[in-house]
Amino acid sequence: MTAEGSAPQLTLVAGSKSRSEASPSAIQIEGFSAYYGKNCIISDLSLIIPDKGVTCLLGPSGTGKSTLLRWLNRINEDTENASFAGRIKILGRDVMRDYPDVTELRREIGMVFQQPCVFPCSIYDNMLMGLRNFKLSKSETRNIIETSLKQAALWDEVANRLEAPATSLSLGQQQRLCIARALALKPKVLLFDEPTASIDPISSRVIEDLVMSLSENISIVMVTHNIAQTKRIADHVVFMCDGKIVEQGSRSHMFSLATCDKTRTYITEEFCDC
Amino acid sequence: MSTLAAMPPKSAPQHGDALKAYCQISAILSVLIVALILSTLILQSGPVLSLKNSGMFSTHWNPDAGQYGMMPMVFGSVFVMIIAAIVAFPIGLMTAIYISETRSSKLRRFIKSVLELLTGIPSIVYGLIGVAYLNIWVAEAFDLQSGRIILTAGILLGIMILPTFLTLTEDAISTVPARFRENAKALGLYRHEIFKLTILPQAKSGIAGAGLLAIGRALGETMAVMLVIGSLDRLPSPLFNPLSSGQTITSKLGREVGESAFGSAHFSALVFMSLILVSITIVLTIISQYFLSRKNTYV
Amino acid sequence: MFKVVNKRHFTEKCFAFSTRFSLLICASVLLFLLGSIAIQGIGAISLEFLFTPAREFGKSGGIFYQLFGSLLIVLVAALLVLPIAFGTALFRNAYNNNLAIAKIMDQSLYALNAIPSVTYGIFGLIFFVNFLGTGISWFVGSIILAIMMLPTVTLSTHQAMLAIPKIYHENAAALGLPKKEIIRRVTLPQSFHGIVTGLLISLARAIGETAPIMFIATAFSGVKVPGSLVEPVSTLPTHILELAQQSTDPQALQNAWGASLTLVTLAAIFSGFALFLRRRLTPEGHS
Repeated sequence: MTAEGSAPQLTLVAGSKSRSEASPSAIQIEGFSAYYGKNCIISDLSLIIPDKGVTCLLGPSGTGKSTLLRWLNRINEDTENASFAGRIKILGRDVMRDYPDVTELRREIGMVFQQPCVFPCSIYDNMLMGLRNFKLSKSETRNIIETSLKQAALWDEVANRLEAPATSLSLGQQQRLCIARALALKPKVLLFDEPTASIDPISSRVIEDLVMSLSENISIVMVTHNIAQTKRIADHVVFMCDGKIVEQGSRSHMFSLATCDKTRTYITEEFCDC
Repeated sequence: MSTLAAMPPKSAPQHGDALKAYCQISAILSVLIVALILSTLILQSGPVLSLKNSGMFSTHWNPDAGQYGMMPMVFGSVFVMIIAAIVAFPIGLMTAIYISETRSSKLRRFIKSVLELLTGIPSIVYGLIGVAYLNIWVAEAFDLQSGRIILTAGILLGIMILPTFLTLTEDAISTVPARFRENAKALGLYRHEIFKLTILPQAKSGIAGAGLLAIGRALGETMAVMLVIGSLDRLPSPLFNPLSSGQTITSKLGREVGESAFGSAHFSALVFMSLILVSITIVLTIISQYFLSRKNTYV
Repeated sequence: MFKVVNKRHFTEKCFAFSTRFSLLICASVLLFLLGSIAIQGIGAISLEFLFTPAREFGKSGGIFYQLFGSLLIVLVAALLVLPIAFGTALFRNAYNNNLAIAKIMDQSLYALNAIPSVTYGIFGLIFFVNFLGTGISWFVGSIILAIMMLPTVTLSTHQAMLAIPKIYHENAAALGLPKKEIIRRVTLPQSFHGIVTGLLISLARAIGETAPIMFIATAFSGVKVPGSLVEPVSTLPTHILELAQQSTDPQALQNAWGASLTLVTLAAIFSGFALFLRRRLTPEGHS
């Protein structure tokens, strides 16, 4: 982590900004395989995820989408029997080798899980959770929390009850709090693991809109097996099946001009025989 | 199969009633036993309680002179318990954290089984180890004539309650769902912060229960303590000197119950001490059960 | 990118170190305990040691009658506790709908669990030995140990009964089976593992108990097979106690180690068997 700048700063360090401008891709995955014990979940997968915008990893359950996502910020390395081979670069830095302190990586790459999970403390303390790593003054902290909650479209609902327990929020609100919590760290990449799978349809729509607005500034990778959702929000679609990429391309390409039979079958019939 | 309907039910009703009566009798019996034990102790405490000038709150124990000062024993019990807690709790807690964080469920199961076997080592065997090794080591380390002192008893007790505390604490930590840990990790928190900020608030009541239960065990432990504490019925001087010999309620009971005459004031004083001990351990256990049963309130 | 506070990194290192270090301490204490019992014990143990009676107040000779006395006293205790524990658990699960009674039963079992072992000895001494006038008797020892085993066996059985899916009861009841039959066909077979493991675990604990029986059931020397219920026996734990008090005598100490290894092995057999059965008999991975 750079220690440049004498005062605690909230701005992006200049170097990394120019670097991300230089590379049009946010994430480069080369020859990546993932295993649980001897079971090969992902085999020799290569993929480039573009900078900014929403990239959806689409496919039936159990095809390694979540596993791939969980390796991007190395959450999976604490899972029993999990191992990998290959190389993942995020914004030019090798995830496995260039981050001796894994927490640095996780601060740069936010992640939101399928099940909303707020910590059993106040909304404010939930927001504070990730910020504890930084030397920030009270007002700076408050500013960041307010901005992040606004970004997550939650500010209006919680502004007057930041000290209320986070568990008192509805599930949809909890999930947005999880997103705001991640946003407070100013991540360059956000990973979503089926963020709307356990939430009611109306709240899901709110979160979808939120994801799209965030994607203007942040590269978003989202795992989903919801085709309608992909159709609504994806800029780029990667169709995965059985640990391999079947086809990928822009949303318009995938939903109208897909060349592969498998893709077409899956998109129209939600069925995959691989 | 039309005959089936015509058949009388095989079981006559009084059989069911006999089973019910048997269950009721067992249940009543198992509740009455506690009452019987407590009332027996209370009744036998009578003689010393009705005795004037028994000097129970003094520091002199001399049955021949009618002095039954229990303070040295009560103090010894508390002191030894505190040392045991100091020995067992930090190590137990940190080890429990390690075990609950380990990736390998095989290692975890192995450690849990070994701990279960460890709790099966009888206290008299701990006592033998204390006599054969620990008290010699302590004597050498502090350059003492004899290692049969309060410190030795405390360390030995600490070792004895460690498995109990460790398993229960590990249970409390592991019942916190993994998603909390994953979410905290995804925010880039370090492990100690994850523990302090997300695991501990949810596991603390389970850990408190484990601690109280372990303390209760420590207070009631007899054989090991009796063999290594030195059996001296005096307050240590200075008061908190762990290097002096001492006496706990249990070691006193173990040493003297067999030697005192049944029905005498001496015997009654011992029974009364036992009653004090039982009251404390029962209260501790009931509080700890309360903590242990509400460990999942947040989830 | 923010500036990260480095103190936290340092704390993290300390935290990681102290968890590992604690594990290391635990592991070495464990190795020391088991190692010293095993190494010292194996030196003292032999077939002859196990099967000859003690001589010279335990300093020489073996532990035959102690071994016999220990097994006799705990196995009879197991037989005594079994029906009461089963009846209590069954009452709690099948017949009692009153929450207050359930609470009282729970609390008294916890209280029974909380009573220090030496207090059981004192209770036995007052109530049986003096009040009922049995004198020093191995059977009184068995009764006292049975009382001590009661909470473990009852709670284990109760939990096993609780874990039986309700649907079984409902299906059996829907077939028109009377309550007695439901208990016989559903409750008993499905909670059998709870009784057995509870019994084995409490046996492992009971066989090592010294304090409850040393005033009421045992004599140190000159004891053989008891001819009646009201005679004393000699047991392994009380034997170790006597020998440990002569710990300056290497001969006595060696025999104490031998008796300890025998005792720990017996306890380990009981609890190992319980662990094994728990895995084998537990339906669908309930704990």
